[in-house]
Amino acid sequence: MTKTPDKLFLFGNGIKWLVRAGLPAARVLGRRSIVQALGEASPSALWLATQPGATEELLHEAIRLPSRRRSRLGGLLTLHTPRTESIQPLDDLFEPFVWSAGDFRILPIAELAEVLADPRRGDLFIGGYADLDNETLTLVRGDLRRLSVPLSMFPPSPAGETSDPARLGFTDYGNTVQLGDYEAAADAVLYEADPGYRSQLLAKRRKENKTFGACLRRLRMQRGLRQADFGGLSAKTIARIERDETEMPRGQTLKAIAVRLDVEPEEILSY
Amino acid sequence: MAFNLKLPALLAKMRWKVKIRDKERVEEPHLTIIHKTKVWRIGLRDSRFLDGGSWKDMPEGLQEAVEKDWEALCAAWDRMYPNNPVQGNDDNSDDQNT
Repeated sequence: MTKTPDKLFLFGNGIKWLVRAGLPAARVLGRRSIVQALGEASPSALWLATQPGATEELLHEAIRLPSRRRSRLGGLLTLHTPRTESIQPLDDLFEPFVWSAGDFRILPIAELAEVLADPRRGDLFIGGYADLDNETLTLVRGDLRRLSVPLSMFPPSPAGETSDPARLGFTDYGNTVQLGDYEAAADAVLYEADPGYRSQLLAKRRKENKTFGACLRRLRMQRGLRQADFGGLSAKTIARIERDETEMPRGQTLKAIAVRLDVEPEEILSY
Repeated sequence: MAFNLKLPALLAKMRWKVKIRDKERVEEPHLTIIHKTKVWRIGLRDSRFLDGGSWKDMPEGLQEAVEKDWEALCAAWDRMYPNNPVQGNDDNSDDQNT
């Protein structure tokens, strides 16, 4: 879960979508409103620049702030490439600072607004860009964390669909990355590329304790059985199933477990 | 190309989607219901909600629409993921062999 921005300052169009999504958004236009916004900014603020040149105006004013204020401005996402000379100072002023060296693709503004307002925004992709020379895809999550993955993560599907990173796009409110006609689930990408995401999922499953393994363990203990008491299945196999290190058993394995526990196979998950 | 189940117009207008994408998390075969930022994964082997949730979280008609095209969804999964078919390859060989 990620805290939603306590202020969102927008350079560009789309303010109505941000407000409709319940975000405390304000449009910034011109020097006076930049100065006012800088006065209201906090480390949890988010600056979103969809119009070219906005970051230059912002830098021009932000760098003039007293030094104690300069490190408390929040994150900045710009869809355009800043001047080379501006990149380092913007990086010093805004944390995180996300910009694109290439063709940045982003969710439609209505979907972007919903994602930014969602506590799960760190698990959704709002945009990104492809580096075709280095065969790399950089994805930006709703909390502005970046994730760079090799394009080899998107091999042709057995059905023959091939990914086309030159036609990168984002849809389904950040739940799907499009590479031409090829679609990848955001959770599949995160699961494969982010060990932190995997640990988080595992911890959630353990907390909920509703996995097949957890149910099996509870039921086995209720029956007073040891892991070695499952006839044709070794204790090691039962231990692995209980730790959810295997897929959910099925077929003869599931039947053998259910028979030993004296329940119907489909009942195990209810324990 | 992702398999995108054609839903009744009202559900589609409400922005509900049912998909199997070209790259899904490698686990048991499943479909994904998407509504705005929320997702629910349902196993194609046992109709179980894989990450919690229930049909009560969905609008009327969605369960019926999914169940009506269940076979088409299973066929789409098998076409897209032939190494992990809905009916299974062999009988739990990975844990039998440990």
